[in-house]
Amino acid sequence: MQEMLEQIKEDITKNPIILYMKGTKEKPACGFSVTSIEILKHCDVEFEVRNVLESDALRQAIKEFSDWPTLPQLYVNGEFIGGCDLMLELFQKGELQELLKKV
Amino acid sequence: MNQFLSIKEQIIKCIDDAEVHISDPRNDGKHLEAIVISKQFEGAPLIKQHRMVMSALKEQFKSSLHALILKTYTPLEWQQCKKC
Repeated sequence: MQEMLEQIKEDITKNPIILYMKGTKEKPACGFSVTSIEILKHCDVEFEVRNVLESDALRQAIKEFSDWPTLPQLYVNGEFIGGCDLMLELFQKGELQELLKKV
Repeated sequence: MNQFLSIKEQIIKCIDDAEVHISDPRNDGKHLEAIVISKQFEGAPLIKQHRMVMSALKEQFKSSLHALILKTYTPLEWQQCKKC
């Protein structure tokens, strides 16, 4: 677990926009992950993803790291932004786009 | 319905003035939607509002709850929302 937590810390530091999700960019594996990908594509930004279905250890660790029980999870500039519902609301208000401009 | 009640109670335990509406659009008891209205959300960024609710439901997420689509409102926002 500790190693995974360190890995996550490194990942969110190295990657300004990173989405922990189920599935891949090309094949999101749940409806909420699909929505999150669509929102980020709509914002026209480069972003990384991590597929938690590849590793149960990662799936548990990211929930522990963020102290957040659900997926997907978006990190921008090392800060936890939220899940799909938050992303959608921030996107509709224009706040997500503003946040992503600061990357 | 017992599950809804326990989720409602748990949220109110932690956010004592909360008005809570829960639905189960997929009818599976695992992917729920919740609307939570509270004066305690005033002035708090959305992420903080969501964290208040999510941390109230830690135990539920360890057992039957798999996903929760959350919408939080202050009482004023809720009034304005209802008018739309």
